[in-house]
Amino acid sequence: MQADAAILALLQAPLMGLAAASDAGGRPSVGRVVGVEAVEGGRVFDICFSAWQWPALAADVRGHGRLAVTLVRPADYLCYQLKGRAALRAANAADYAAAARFIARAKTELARLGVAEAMSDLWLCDRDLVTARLRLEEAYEQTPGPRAGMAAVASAAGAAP
Amino acid sequence: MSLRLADLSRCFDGVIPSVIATAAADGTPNVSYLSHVVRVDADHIALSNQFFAKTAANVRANPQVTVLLVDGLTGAQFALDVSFVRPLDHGPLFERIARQLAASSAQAGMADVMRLRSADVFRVKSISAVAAPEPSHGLAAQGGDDVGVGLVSAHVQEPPHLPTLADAARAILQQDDAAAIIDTLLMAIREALSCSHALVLIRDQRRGRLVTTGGMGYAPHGIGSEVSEHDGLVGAAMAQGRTARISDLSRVRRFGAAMGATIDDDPGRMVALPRLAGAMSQMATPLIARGHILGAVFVESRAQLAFSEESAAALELLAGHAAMALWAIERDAQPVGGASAGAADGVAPPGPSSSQPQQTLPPPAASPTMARQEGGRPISVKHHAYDDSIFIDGVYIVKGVAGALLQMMLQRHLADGRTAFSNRELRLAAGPRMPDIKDNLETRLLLLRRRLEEKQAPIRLLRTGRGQIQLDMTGAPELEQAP
Repeated sequence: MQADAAILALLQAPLMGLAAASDAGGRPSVGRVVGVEAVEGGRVFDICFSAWQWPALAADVRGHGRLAVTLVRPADYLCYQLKGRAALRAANAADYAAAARFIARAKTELARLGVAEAMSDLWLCDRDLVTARLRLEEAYEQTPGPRAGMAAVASAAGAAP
Repeated sequence: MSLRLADLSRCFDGVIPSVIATAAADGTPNVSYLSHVVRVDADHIALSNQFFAKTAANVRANPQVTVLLVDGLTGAQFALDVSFVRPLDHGPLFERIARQLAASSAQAGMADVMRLRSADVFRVKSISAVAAPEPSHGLAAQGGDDVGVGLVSAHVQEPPHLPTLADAARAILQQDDAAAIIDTLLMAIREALSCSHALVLIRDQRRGRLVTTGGMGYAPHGIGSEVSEHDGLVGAAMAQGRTARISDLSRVRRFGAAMGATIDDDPGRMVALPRLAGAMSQMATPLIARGHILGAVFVESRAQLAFSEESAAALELLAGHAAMALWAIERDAQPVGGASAGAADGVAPPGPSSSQPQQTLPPPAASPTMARQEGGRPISVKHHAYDDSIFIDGVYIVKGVAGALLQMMLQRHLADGRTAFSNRELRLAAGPRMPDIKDNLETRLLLLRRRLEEKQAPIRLLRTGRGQIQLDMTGAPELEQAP
């Protein structure tokens, strides 16, 4: 499955991101994303986060391997959720560079919206960076409002139940 | 010591969005931002589920949920291990959440879009602080459990100083007229809450409106401006009988913009409600005396998180004292000995009531216009019966009870030339038509007086003594009655 143009366009903006996985017992874990790169034209996404700050998320991606990622443009809450299977690896130099760009742009944007770096420093961390390579299986628009939960790609199964 | 929900009060102010992670029965995760998280009690939270059907379906298939909360002042993050208990679509708790949501969304003109359909209640099993990296931008320790200031415009407010609060409360109770009570309340808000923008709104129960009767920090003050007693933050405070707060309006506005909401312009023929440009924090509390809601106090600030729980409590205390003082002056001025006390003074109720023993006002004139032959230029006064609005020389002055009172006094003046009136006779005369006047005559007269002054009208109302007023006119009024 391939992400549509709206999602790929979203990646050009300063973003905030969330990720969730679950353990074998079904307990979800959560974390903040600090890097997103589209690969293979939007069929695959490299999702970076701090395994130091979000150890349960890292363990669950390694274990169960299912990942959900929500990306939001803070300026207007335009928001999409991507889901699929993911494999975790240690971040390489390119991942660290992508994370540095993501973090810098997010901090600038949040500062413009009234959030000081002293605060966003706590959310945007690249210590022990890991990368989850997500193969896209589902994508949903999640902007607050009537379209929330609608499938964001033509080939998806439909609206989330 | 393990963390408790009570330690996380700033996480529930709605400044930084919370996050909910769920998993379907097959383990497929789902993660989304949450519009509202409400602390229910020591062990439970409730989440508004505005738009995301998937989250709602997942928690019903698999009750294990992780919620991420963020301290709105410091940015510190907390992961909550919670378990779904039950959905909520009615009852007092649901109403509380719905009102909170309605209050913040109404401020952005999107009450309908954000109307709460359901909420879910979760039991909190454990709370853990998320690891925080070393700050790189001078997060200075400030003592206590505050680790620093995260928001650029956050206003780290000292809790209200109790002796200052006590002095202010005492000063309010010492006042014996409505203007002094309201002005002392505003001064107290400035001193005890360090807040420089506030409005005092008095309830017009008959019309379901709240009318600005005092204000500070705004130019013009907006005396006579109105809001519905059911809408917005003030409406939420009135409905709950408690303080309602918003700590970050910028988030509410952006959230509204995401849904394409629009804000209606004020309809015409109204005084514009003053607003602080760039306001980030707002708080409203009702003026309650003996279970009667007399009005509301509204305060705002350009700082995010300007009003803490302590500020809200202080505002409630001050508002309670002001309400008791306003209640007391109305009670002090109640007629004694029945209707004859007022009737003897010679003012009778307007309108069709004819049972008064001494009907000293002339019957309604055959001509819709009344005038009195006397010196000075003519002053055109137009009274519209449908809303009791008054226009003087074409300028809108006031409507509602205050308008009806001026009409009554002018009718009396045109009939026999009187300009001096006692509050007591006005209360008696107006009572049959406006039953709630017994609770708010003094504040209505104050509103009328202030509007006439603000519009520099050729008719003014002077307070000549306790409970005594006088019409002061620079010409000869001609009263025209319109439907």
